[in-house]
Amino acid sequence: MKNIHTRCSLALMLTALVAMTSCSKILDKHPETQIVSTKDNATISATEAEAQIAGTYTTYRGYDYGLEFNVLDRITNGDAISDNCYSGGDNTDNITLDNFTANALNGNVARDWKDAYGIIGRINITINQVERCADPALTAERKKQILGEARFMRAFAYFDLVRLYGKAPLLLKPSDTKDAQSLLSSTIVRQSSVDSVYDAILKDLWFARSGVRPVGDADTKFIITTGVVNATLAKVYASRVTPNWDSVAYYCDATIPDYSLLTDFTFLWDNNHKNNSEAIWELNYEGYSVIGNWIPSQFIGTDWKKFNVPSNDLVNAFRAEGDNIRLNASISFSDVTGHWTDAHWNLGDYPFLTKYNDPYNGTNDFYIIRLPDILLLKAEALVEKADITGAMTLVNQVRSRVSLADKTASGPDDARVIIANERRLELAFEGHRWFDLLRTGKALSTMNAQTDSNGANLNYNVQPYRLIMPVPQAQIDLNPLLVQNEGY
Amino acid sequence: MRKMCSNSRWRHRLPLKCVLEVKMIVFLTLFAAYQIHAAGVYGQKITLKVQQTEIKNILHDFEKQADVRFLYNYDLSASLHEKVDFTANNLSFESALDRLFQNTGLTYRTLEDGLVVILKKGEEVAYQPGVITGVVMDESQQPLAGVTVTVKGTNNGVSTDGKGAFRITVPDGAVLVVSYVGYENQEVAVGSQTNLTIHLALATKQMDQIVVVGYGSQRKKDLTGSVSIVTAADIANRPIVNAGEALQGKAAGVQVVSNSGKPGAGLTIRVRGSSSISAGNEPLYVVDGIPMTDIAAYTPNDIESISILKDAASASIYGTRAANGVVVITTKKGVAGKSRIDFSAYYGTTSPTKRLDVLNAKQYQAYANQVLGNGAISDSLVNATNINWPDEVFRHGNQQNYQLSVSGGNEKTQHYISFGYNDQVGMIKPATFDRLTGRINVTTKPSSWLTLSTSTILTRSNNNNVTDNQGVARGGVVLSALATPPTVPRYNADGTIGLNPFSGWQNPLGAIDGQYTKSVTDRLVSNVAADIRFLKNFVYRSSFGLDYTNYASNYFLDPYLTTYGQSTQGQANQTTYLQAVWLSEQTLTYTKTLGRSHFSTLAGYTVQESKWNRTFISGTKLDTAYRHQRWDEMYMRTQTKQPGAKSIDEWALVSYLGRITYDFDGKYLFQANLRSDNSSKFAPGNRTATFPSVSAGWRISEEDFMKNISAISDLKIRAGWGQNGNQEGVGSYEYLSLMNINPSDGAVTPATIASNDLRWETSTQTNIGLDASFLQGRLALSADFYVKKTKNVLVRVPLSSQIVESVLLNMGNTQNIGQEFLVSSKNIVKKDFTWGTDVNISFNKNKVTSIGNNITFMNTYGNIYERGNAVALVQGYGLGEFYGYQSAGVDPATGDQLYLTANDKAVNYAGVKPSDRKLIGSAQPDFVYGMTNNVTYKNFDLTIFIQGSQGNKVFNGVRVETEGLKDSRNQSTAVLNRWKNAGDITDIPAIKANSNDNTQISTRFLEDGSYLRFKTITLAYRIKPEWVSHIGLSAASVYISAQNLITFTKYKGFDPEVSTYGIVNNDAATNPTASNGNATDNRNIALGVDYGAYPQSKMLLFGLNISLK
Repeated sequence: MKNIHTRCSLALMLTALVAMTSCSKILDKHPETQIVSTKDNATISATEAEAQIAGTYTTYRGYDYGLEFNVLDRITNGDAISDNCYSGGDNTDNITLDNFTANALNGNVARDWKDAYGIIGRINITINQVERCADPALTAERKKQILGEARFMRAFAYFDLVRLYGKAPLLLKPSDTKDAQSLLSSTIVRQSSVDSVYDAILKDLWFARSGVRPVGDADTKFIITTGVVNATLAKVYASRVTPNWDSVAYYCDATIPDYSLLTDFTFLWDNNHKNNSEAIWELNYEGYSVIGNWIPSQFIGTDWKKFNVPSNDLVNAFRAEGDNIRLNASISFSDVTGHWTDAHWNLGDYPFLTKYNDPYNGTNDFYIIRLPDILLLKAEALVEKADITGAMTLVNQVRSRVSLADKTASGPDDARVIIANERRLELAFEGHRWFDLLRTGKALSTMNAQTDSNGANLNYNVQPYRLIMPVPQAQIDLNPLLVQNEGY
Repeated sequence: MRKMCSNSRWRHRLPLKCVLEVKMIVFLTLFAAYQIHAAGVYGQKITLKVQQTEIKNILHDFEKQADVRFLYNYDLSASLHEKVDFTANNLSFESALDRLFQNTGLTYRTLEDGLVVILKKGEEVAYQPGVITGVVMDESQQPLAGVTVTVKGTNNGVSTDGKGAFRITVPDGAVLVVSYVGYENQEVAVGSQTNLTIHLALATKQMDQIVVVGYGSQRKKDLTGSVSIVTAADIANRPIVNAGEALQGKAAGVQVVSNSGKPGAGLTIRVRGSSSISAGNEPLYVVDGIPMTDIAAYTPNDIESISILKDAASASIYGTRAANGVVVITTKKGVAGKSRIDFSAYYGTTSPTKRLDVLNAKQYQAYANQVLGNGAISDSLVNATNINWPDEVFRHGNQQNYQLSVSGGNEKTQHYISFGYNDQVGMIKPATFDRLTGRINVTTKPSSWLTLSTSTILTRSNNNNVTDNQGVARGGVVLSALATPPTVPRYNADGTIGLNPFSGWQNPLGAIDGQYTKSVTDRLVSNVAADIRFLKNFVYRSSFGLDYTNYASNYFLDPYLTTYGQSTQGQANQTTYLQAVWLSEQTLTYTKTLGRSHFSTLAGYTVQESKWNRTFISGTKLDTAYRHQRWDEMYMRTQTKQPGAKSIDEWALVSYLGRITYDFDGKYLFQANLRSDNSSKFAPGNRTATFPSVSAGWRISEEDFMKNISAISDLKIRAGWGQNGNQEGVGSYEYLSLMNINPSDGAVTPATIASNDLRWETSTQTNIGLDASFLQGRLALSADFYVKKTKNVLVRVPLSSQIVESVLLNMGNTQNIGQEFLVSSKNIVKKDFTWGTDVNISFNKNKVTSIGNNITFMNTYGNIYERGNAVALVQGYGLGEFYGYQSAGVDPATGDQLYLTANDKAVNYAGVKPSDRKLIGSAQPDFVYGMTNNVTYKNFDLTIFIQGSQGNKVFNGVRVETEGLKDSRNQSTAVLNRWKNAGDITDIPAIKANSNDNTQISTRFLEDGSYLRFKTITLAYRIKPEWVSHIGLSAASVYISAQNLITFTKYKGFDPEVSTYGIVNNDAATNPTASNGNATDNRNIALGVDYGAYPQSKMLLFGLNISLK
């Protein structure tokens, strides 16, 4: 008769044991290797704010968006679409972009939009989190720095977007995650006009300018300083539909004193002069142990037909100037006979883009802005302000560094041609050429005049609507408020 | 079923009552186990002094003092309540009892096990309880071991020994219930017999089958839900490696697609279609009580039965994880009696079911010089190198399997111990897979009220992966074999792997020799359970299970052989994870029979918790001198180490469940289930969900008016309604907006945005079914009709211009409407010749009734490199709608591929707009079916199993590459018919260098994916026992079998059974947060895309099964 009691109590004990494990604690699971974005009234600590701005920098140069958008596609969009390179390789997305036949389904077109907004979306979250940070350990000055740096990077992404796609949706806040409906609604946003996008860019840049560190206070040239902001303001004013040359000159002047040209052009590319006096904004790559710049492996090597093959037109331009220093620093020639066939080049003397020379270790930095860009931009501004002599002084400052003789301009048009050519040779493969052609109104005439090595026209036959990319079809499918760019 | 009712007058007076009813039950339970001997009773003394006390209470004191138990019939209650005075001082038990009954109308009889039966005076003679012995045999006079013999209405039971013998103590008038798996139950009235010979008949009628269901088992004839069953016999003699394959073509309503023929590759299994858009659509697996999502570790050789719980009524006991159906797997158990030692083995060779021809060097040269420019491929190159790359990559593979099992036990303890080994060499280099499995299943009854059982497996799988389902640009071996020019050498003079200089892609040896991905998965799954019987008809079950996985995958990229390897100077990556899932389940069952009413309830409480812990490390820059070392050494020697990364994922599920089952006379059946789940995967406030179901059945054949219709043996209609939930595939933290921590510098980056109101999907399903059997079970028919509607469907909504490509939201509605039919017929039943046919066919109409939030169309699935997405999700259509242009043939004038505009104008690609694309076909079949014919003639046994799918389209992405006619890729011989000159009439367009214009996603590449396949043809020979008995065997059989021998299809690719996007990568399968959103969506939506999948193989094998004496 005792057994029944034993059994009942055993059962009860087990039940009790189980009941103890039932506490709802077991259901409270939190990510352990990720962090939850704070919401509503919760705020982050000063340390967390620092970690987040560090994350913004990582995004800007890193594997997920930075290298693709800010390095590879910047070179493709700036140089392969322009007269500096042929697409090379056999990637149809690149080839159709190069040939001005891309449509809204093009993979690069889709990718650049996605990457730019990926960067912007992350920054919007970080800005929101840092703005709400109430930790006294975060000084007002540091907070303004962080927000300035973040808002600058957002502005630069919009600057890229507006130049590539024209009008664009302005997303300046994190998405509303209260519930599904709000989340979706907050992503369905109309495109803003090109002017409105530029206004938003300027608003961020002005905010940044008043908050970020002076040039001397930054450890590396990757950190956003007043120099970077001023240089960008100059570029933005020069790129608006109606450039404001006074402002361009003003911000160039604000930038230039903090920087100086390296004595030797090749120092820029030898990996021994990182963060040099000439660099204004430089993406740092330490190699694969941290973040490795893998892009040069797409340009260098004779085992297969690489991307972004320098054009006849560019090589001729270097040669016409007798510009051997920059030609040799930018382009190498190899015999690829028997490796592949090519419509543009003699295989015995085939050019490769070698400005970034380390295809193995990922240590090549990338300059988004360096001093000659701003010097030559100021020269443009001076031409517009009728100071041709002053303009040519700046041009010759850049030329003398690469042992080229001084130039004089016969008039403003000649000066513009000289400056444009100087920019092209100095800044080849740094992602500027196409945007220079665009803002100077030379894109159509230049591209439609392109010839092959025998002087026959390449028949790009670029239509005006193709000066900006189509809105990716995938984005239009997702956001019914988006309107396709005219012509596509 | 034969009913042998006792004519004993006692029968109608059952059940017995006892001094204390409760204790009586206990005593009956203990009855067999305690084995109290009569000698003990007689030696014991009683000391007691009471006045005016009920006899009942005095007997109670006797029980306390002497180790005895009293039995009596309830009609003695009045007598036992009589109050008497009683004094005994150290009196012997018998004398004390004699004295007590002196002036009453009572007397007693002592039984051997300390049992004392109280009787009315004068009834002693009629009462003949005692020990019954007997033997249980089958119809061929062979003794049956392990047969359960119980006294009806009690828990008193024994098992037969190796000679079929049993011995049981019974009260008078007892009815014995004799049951054995695979045989019909039999009830035997004991009457005056003391020695019984019982013959059990084979359960010919399917309706008597015992079916394992959620948290219990039921007779098939009592089922009210829709359950498909696959038994060990269906799996026997088939080279099945993943238990899921066993369901293909065997279970109505279940669609199984092998996404890849790769050894160790997973399957896509759909029970009654897909109801989720972005969450999981795979069924829940419950193996020996443990719910899980991955059964790759289990060898089918150990499987006893598989029940697929298809409708809401049968599955809803698994609540939030049951919406996609539940596959309940039961492994083999030992039976009491003689030990068995069984050994089985097979060996087979595999080869592709089909070969695809590509251009040879000469043909390629002509093509290449046209597309790439003259001189691209020189004569000297053609003369030097002409390699058929498919031949280099495909090979004869093989598969071997060995299984040894030992089972047996005695009445108290039964065991099943097995050891298995499966080894596969894939037909595409370098794929290999092997798996070692060990299993221990033990059940023991230390006492009559307690049963302990365990089910435990230990497995180790080794997988040497090959990249398939990838375009050439991503290293897919299958497409690479087809697209590598025949003029590319195997190796260059310097020993590096040859490559196509136009594309930079290496020949397939780059993927085969230049790198490897080898993984080892160890898994331990163990469940320990205790069943405690108490009070009357209560069983408390407590079980604890652990599912533990240790996974390591090593990737190595040779620093020298490949160009990619040279650019990173070698690479060594390792992913490891540990996952521990524990499960605690407490259930209480109460069963009660009142007259012809049978009632049972189940209440339970379960807790399951998982922790997944992943580490990723990688290094690059390895000195080539070390490139042949073991992986770990190479990793250590890499000069650049990337920062390691960790991810941890945890979830928990706390659930309450309940069930009520009632039937009246086995005629009117009713069941209700309820499960309430609490999941950690949702925000507090959204964590709890409750899912009810009800079902009923009417066995019309039991009605009197049907009894005379002899042709109908059984007829039942069933109907059920219920709700189930789905949360599979929802990441553990998917309701939270998260930030990643960069392992290189600790920087924090926003990673996801999420909707806070994320919750379960809810499926509501109504099922109506019919089960009938005719002609004594010779012909059986089952039919089911269902409507399944799912709301709050999780949709991974692609977002415009956000940091994530998509976000998971509850917004859609889907429905599946279907019919399933199963016919089983024993066409011929003769002594030496039998022929049986089983046919099943399932129709399912899947429809996305709404995507939600005014979205009616999303074309973001099934990406084809450089061409966009081939599959769309469309409101009002099923999952797997192909979207593209309508092809209009090749323009004879220009050789351009023509497409139709929205206005039906045939123009080339320059003339169409993306908006001219439309829905061009569905990957969903109209129906899937299977048919098994089994013929036995004397000792020969022939099985022919046919399986197929009808009406589904497949997008042949392979042809996009092999008929691309745009660059240096090699092409299939189909392009020899390409357009060459104006006026050519052909369906292959002209060469168009560097242009995808002619190979856009269109009906040109959309093909009929219907197929009918001879899945298995097996001829077995059962060797006569007398021939092998002298070598120590009790049974032996040998067989030859062909798998996938013939496939009838119009599909032009390797194999129509394919789903490139159906693949589940190991990390994603185990960790939902590791899965990228698009992968899950593609799995559900981008069905039927062939983009270089490792094809199904044809296999010829030889096997043998032996049993040791």
